[in-house]
Amino acid sequence: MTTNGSRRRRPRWRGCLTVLILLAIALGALWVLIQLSPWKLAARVAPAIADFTGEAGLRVRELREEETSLGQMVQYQGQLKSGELALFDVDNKGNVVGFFRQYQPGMAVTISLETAQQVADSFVRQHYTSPSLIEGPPDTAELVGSIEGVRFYRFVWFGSDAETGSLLPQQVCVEVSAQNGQVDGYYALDQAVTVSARPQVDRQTAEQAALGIVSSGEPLPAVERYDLVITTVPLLDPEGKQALVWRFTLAWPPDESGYTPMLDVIVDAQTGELLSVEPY
Amino acid sequence: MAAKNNETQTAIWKAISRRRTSTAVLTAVLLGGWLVSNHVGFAQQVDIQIGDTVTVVTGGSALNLRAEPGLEGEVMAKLAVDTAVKVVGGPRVVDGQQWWQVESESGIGWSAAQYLRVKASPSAVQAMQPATQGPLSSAPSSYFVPGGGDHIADTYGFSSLCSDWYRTSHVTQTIEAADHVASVLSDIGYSSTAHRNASPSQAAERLLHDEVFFFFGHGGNNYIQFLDDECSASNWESNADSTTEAPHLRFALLLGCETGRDTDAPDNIMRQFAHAGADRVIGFPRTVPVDVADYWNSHFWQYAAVDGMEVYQAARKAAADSIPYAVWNARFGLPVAVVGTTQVYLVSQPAQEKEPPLGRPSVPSVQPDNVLERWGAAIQAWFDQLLQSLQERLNEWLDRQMDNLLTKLVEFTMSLMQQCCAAPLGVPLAAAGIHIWRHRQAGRRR
Repeated sequence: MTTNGSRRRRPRWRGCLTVLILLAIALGALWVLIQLSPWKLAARVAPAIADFTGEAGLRVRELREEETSLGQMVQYQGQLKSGELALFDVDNKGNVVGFFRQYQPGMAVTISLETAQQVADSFVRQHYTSPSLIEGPPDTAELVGSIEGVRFYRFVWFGSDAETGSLLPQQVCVEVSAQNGQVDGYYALDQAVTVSARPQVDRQTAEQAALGIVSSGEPLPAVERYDLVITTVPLLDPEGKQALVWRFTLAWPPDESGYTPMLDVIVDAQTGELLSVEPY
Repeated sequence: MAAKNNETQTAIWKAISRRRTSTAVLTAVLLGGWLVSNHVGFAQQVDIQIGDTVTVVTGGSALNLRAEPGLEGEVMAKLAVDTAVKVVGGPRVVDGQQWWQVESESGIGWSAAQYLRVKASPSAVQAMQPATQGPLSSAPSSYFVPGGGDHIADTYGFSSLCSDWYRTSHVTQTIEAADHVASVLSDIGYSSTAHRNASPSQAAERLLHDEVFFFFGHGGNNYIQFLDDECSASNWESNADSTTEAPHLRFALLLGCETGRDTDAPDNIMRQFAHAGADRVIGFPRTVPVDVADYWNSHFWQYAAVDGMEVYQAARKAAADSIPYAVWNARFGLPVAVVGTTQVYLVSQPAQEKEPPLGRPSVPSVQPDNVLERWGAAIQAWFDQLLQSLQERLNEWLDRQMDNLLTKLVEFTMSLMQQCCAAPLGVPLAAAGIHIWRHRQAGRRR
């Protein structure tokens, strides 16, 4: 190795520049890593969840994402001050639309229906976004449980069109522990209605279309139930479109094995077109 | 009595020392465990007192009434499920189990405490609350941890080339679901098999070895329907007198319409599986479209097997998901029913060994040679459980610390990005400017 006196010394700033660039790359890489990490923190939704629970500084982490017919849902897990874990479903607007407290349910019923309803009423008014749906008392109120003795009260408000009675994609459900009166579950659906709730095809016409699926010679089923409903078609399909439909539940007499064949047949209430057949 | 206890403890100590498997710490913990189990006991054992009326809760099989406490005692009679007997003596601890002397119509004898339950009264129910809330209040435990035996799981979906349009229309969903569940169970240690079509007799034969049973097909309150390759339907029916042999069964999912319509009915199909020994049986109280059932099923296994959520909660949460996400309105209500055999079910506890019922081949298991070794094994099991619990807590703590660390990193990075966002660009640009300026100066000098 020879020393060359004429060789100029490498400028010092170049080393600094290299360090700075490396630092920038490292920070960028760290940022990407955090973004992609399974421990990605829900900085975006943390305030909404904290507001929902009333517990400031609640830590949450993302569990999973799912494409649904209501858009993207993200589920987060957090630990409440009580030590209980809770799940939060957050829609693509950042609203908490689902809350579920993970705990070991108790068996005793120590809370009355009236008390539980007050709790549910207060909770839903605080958190549900469509006041008109929850103006009155809940549409259903029941004590739910198994023979195990797990008990909770379940209150549901359904949305329906005042004029036509069609069911709307709006409902909210609150579950209140029958043991301690705390809210254990909350599930809200508040989808904007983008189609008319007034059908162009009457029920009789739609029913004939539904029964048209039965091959000639086959016994005709009974129409066990029908609804006029705004729903997503096809059902559960993230690519599904909102439509006003007639939904008929058809039931045949039990076969020799005792099985009662049933189908839901969905007919477009605006065009009379047969949209889908849902087996049971 | 005290002297006898001391002798027992010394003997245990010697037995453990002879096997050279313990350290001083381990021994202290084991003895502590022994003392705790002796003086505190499990919730269900504490509740029983002399004079109580208790019922037999074996999960379907008959309970032995023995002349003497212990597995060597002569069997005097068999007590059917739900038989009420009066506690007249005990308890005695023999063969690692607690035994109560009970008076029945067949006479006075001894029965294992774990299959006796104080007849439910409001006060008894209240007394069970703390035990019920214990293990899950801080963290969920995984229900689907293979607990003993061969960990066999069987799943059934049905594909047929039936000409009946209403059956062919959901050929793939039940099969795919059965495959999916078998795959999930395989991932967590079960030896699982997905069946495409089967007969009830084939399923019943396999049920003798199953810990987990999954069915997705047609059903009713008192049956589930199997289809064979020829599209022939056969029902697995339940009636009040029927019994199902399932000595290892822990969990059964009967994914068919109305399998849980009336779980209080004696002929309910879910109840039959519960009486066969399953800790939890899940079914549907109403008719449910296949799509919704399939959606519920996929969510249920995610929560119960992957997230480790308690089964009932997983079922509830999956049911809640399937209603609003499906925009299917709540006319189906909560499409899930759960039946279990035990009121106090500690999901973090390993499945307890059952005493082999009469007339049934005994479950192969390690049978220690003497009482002391049995105690050693019991204490070892307790110690294993303690270690598992500690490990879970440690994992939780580490998880929290990781979250804290990442929070701080994110905050730091964000603040850095906000305050010094120009630095990564500004500094090189400034440096380049200086470089150019120096070059120009040097050129001027030259």
